[in-house]
Amino acid sequence: MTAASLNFTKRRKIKSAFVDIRVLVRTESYIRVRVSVDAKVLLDDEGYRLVVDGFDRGRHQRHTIPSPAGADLDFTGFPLDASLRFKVRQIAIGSDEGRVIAATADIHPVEIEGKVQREPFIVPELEDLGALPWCIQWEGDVADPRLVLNRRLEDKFGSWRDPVLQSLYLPAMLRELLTGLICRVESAEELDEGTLGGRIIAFCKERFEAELPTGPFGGPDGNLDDWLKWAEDCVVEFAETKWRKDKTLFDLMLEEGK
Amino acid sequence: MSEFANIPVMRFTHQGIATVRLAIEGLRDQGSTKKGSQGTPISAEELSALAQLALRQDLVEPYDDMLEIDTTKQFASRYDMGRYLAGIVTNAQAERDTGLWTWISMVYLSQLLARRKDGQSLLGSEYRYIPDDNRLRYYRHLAKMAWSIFRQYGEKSKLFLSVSCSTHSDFVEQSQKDDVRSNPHLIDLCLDLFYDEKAAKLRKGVASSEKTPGSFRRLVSVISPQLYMNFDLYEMPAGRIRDILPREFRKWFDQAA
Repeated sequence: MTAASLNFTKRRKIKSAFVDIRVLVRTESYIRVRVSVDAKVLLDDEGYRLVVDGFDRGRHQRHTIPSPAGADLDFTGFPLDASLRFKVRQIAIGSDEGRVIAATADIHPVEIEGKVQREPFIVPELEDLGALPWCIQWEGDVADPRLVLNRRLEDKFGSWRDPVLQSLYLPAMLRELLTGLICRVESAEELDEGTLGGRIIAFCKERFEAELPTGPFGGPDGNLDDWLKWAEDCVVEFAETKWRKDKTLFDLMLEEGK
Repeated sequence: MSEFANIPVMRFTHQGIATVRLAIEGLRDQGSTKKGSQGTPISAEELSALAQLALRQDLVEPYDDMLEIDTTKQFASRYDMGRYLAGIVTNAQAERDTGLWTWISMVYLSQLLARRKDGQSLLGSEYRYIPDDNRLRYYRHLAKMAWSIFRQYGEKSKLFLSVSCSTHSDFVEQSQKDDVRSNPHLIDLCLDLFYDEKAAKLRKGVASSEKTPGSFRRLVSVISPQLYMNFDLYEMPAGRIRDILPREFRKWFDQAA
C-alpha cells in the first residue's frame, strides 16, 4: 500500500514547474525567500488559503502566501546554511477547514547568489566492449561498480558527454546502477559516502521528487518492491529533468541530431 | 575517562577531529565487520585508547571556560543524556560545532557503544560520533541529536529518546522524518498514545515493524504521509488528528485513557 493510493480527498498535485521559489538573501537572523505560484493551477471554486512550509532537519516554519503572483517571505527559524526545502499547499477554509485541496512535492529553491558547483559523477570508463554499447561491472566493491562505455562510441560521437550519446545510455545506466545497488546491499547505510553507490543514492533521494520508500532495501524489514519502483521513478524524473541549456537530454539529442 | 570528574567543556581542534576520524577509520578497517549498521567489534583497550584522545592537550581547546561537564556521569537513556547536555550546552550555535560534539562523544564513548556478551564493544560509523552535515546523516549523531531533540521538545523528547545511549535503531531513525519531528501536534498525539508515563517507556508493541497495524513506525512511515496528503496536520490539534486515525490505532486509545 502506498500513500498515493489513499488520496481519499482527491487532493491535486501542483507540479513544481508552476511554482517558483528563490532564496533572495541569507543572514544570521532570517532567510528571505520569494515565492510565486502560477494562479491557473489553483482551484478557486472554494475558499482557500495558500501556504508555504519550509523544512530543514526537523525544523519547520510556515508562511501564508498573501499573493500567488509573488511574495517575499522571511524564514527566521533556520540557520544561515540551512538546506531548505519547501512545500506549497492550498488548504480549504470554511466548512471544509483543513482539507488539502492541492499541494506540491518537495521543492528545492533556486539560490540567487552563489551557484552550486556540480561535477558529474556518472563518468564511464572507456573500453573495447565488442558489440556491447555499455555495461556495469560489479565484480569488486559493490558500492563502487565500474561504469564502462564502449570506446568506439566515444570515437563515433566525439565525447562520452555528447548529448545524443548520453540520452541513449544514461537513463538505462542509471536504472541498472540503482536497481543493482538496491538488490545487492541491504540498506543505503552500507554504501559509504565517497563511493559511487553512496553518492548516486544520496543524489537521487535529494534531487528527485519520487516518493521515498521507508525502511531498508532488503532483509526482514526490507521494501524491495517499493525501492525498485522508486528507482524506476527516479529514472523517469532524470529523463524529464532539464540539465544543460535548460533542456532535457532527449530534447538536446533531438536538437543536436538535426 | 575515569581519571577525572568535573572538567571544563572542551572541543577538538581541526587536527583533533582528523585524528579521531583516522582512529575510527583505522579500527573499522581492521575489524571483520567493516560496513553496515551493526558496528565493528573493538576491545576494551581499543575503546579506551579512542576515548583518551579527548584528553590529548595537543588535540583539544577550551569550548567555554565557564562550563563544566561531569565525565563520570552514567546515563540511563539517550533522554537522560540529552537532558544533561542541554543543561550544560545552552548556546544554539553549538549545534554546528563539530569539535564540541566529537569531544563529548569521546568523553562518553563507552556509553555510546553497544556492549557484546564477549566484552567487546561495537564501534559504529563515524557519523555516530563525529557530526556529519549531510541531510541524510546529520540525525545519526548519538550525543548531538539527544541534545538537539531534548532542546526542541523538552520532556516530550522521551518519545524519541527512551532508548539506551548507544541505540539508533530504525525506529529512532524513522521518527526523525521532518513531517513528524517538526509537528508538535503529532508529537503530542504520539506521546499520548504510545508512551507509558508510569513505566517511563514506550508501550509494548509500539516499535513493531511498519507492517504491524497500529505500530508507531506504521503511523510515522505509512499513515502520517497519507494524512498529510489530505489534511493540514500542522494546524490540527492532537485531538483532531486522533479523530482521523484509522481504526487500527484504537487499541491504544483505552491504554492512553
